[in-house]
Amino acid sequence: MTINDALLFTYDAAGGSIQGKTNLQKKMYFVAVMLGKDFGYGAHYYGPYSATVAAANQELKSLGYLSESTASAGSYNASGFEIARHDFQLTPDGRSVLAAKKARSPEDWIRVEKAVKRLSEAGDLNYMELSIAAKAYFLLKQATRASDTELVKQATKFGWTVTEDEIRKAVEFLIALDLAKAVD
Amino acid sequence: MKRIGFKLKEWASAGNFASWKYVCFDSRSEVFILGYARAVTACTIEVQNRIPSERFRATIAVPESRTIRDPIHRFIKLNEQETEIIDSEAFQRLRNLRQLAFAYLVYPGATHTRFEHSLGVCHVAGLLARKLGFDEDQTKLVRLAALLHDLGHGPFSHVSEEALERYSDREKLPPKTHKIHELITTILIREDPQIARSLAQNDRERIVNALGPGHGEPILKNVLSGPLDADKQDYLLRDSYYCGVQYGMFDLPQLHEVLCNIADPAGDRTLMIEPGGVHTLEQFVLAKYYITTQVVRHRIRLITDQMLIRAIILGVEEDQIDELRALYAFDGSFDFIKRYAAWGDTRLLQAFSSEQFEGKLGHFLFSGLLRRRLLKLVFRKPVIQFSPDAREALSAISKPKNADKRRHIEKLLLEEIQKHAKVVTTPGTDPSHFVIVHGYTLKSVKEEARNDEASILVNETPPILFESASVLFNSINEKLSETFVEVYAPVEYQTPAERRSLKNKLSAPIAAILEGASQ
Repeated sequence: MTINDALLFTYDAAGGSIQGKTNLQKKMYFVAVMLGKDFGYGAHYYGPYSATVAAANQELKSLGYLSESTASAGSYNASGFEIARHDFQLTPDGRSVLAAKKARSPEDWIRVEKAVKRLSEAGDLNYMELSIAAKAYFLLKQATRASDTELVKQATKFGWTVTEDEIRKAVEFLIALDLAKAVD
Repeated sequence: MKRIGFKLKEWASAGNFASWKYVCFDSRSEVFILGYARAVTACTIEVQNRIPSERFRATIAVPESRTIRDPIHRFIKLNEQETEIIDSEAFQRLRNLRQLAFAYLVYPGATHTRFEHSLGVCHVAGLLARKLGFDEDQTKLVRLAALLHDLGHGPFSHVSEEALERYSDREKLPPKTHKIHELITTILIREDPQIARSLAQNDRERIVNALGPGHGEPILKNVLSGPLDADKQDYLLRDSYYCGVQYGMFDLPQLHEVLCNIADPAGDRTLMIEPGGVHTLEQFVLAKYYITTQVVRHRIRLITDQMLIRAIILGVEEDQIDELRALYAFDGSFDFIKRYAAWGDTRLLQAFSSEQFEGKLGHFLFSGLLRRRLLKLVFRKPVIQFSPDAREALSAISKPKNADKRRHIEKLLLEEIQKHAKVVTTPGTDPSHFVIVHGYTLKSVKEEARNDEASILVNETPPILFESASVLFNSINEKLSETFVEVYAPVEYQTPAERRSLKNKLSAPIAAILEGASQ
């Protein structure tokens, strides 16, 4: 499965559109984790981020498979998140290509669809919460085992500011996804 | 530690006499000074007269800094530590790497190198540090990181990157979050013995982190890699100056005047522009857009870059030139880097277009680049004009994984081209190797205003995106980024009219071949 395929499948499974670049990045991060794929994610100031995913999304746009619109996302916030929101939507050309890809690789499509469904069932997080969950998973994967307090401390090493409450909620989400489990 | 050696008479006549302390010497004799100096104002040296037995020790003042004349910034002042770094072999080799690869074939003045660009970026980073109120330690860090940011580039810089990606041993390298030249930069900063002598280990690690693609203090990252970084501020002005164009010009002092260092409620500091600076920034972003479209993505430059990449691939894979493969087979070792660092733009071109390789496939293209006998653009079309199913394949046609499909298409294209034009090639070689189909994307001017996640913020309450604050940029259609497919071939024509006629004749059949073969 190419990254373009995974992206188009994710858009489709998410209802044909994704609101916000941060949302897209973090959604794709968890899809990559659940598919066991390396889409080039590394630690950035805004959490796990992949330039490869950003470039692929840009390419799909320039090929006419996605359209982009900009909307105001509200006020500036403490974590430095986007202020204007970039929304992406499958175009009719994108849907036509997607149908061909689904027919060619039905198993890949089903895997991505399941991953996106699991994300939504685990807790319909907004883009900020999803971003914190992605940070928490990124940190947990490195530490293998850590308390909420330790995760908050680890986060500061990456320049990430998160509270214990935010981490707690994020870990609950990871547990629901079977990506983490609580131990005594 | 740095070894210094010079003739005393020259030193004295250059006006440095006053900086000496406690030196005894015979002014009529020519005395050689040999010594070792750290980055301090005074050090102990050993003075040796021509008569070996006459040795004595003395303390001298060594220069604290070096001032370099520069056509863009006029004077670039470097401190002792920075001077030591630029005197290292690893840094001096940047003199052999032109900043704009083959742009000099279009703009003859564009022969400036990564060396002077790196000095310029260091200078601009220092100006930004002062404007943004960095402390001494932050200033030192961003200046050094800026100075070293291009250290790992190979011959023809970004063009080499594709060959490195193709022939490197990725299994021996870290996960694919770095470009290869960035990995080489990292290794040089960490392991080059001369650089290690100038920088403490802790500083080397901090510089590597500051230059890396990952996390770090946002305000420092803003200066080193962001939509307003020191790199762009230098190259836009420098490239414009050397190309003899005005596309990249902007008002540098005014831009710095409107920059500010703002703390967000969480205490992180970030780079923003003052509300009154929106028009200044518009000029800067447009400068970047124009220099990209008119210089970096100039049609001849696209052809030369593709010729070089094809020459390397043919040289490695068809001609089986081990020396060429070894140049790009990066395995993460310092031994590789020592070999790699010995190559520059001119050496690469001259070596592989020499008589030794005459008759080889790669030779045809290497020597074509050396003599400006270039392939011709015979077809260009936005991929959006192809069917939805063909677009993705055409956009990705230059990627290594599509090598077989690309080769198949290029053979079909040659058959069509030969029906309409005279194809020029080396006797005994298959000319389809010199037909190149290439897909590439041009970002929209709006996208030029940001770097992936990082956007430029205007210091309003609350802060707003530059693109929203600018009436000019607000009116630009976000969708205007385009992917093109082009075909280059070794054809001959005598007049512009013949060229136009050939392109017209080839347009429909080439489009049909690309449409059919890409699905």
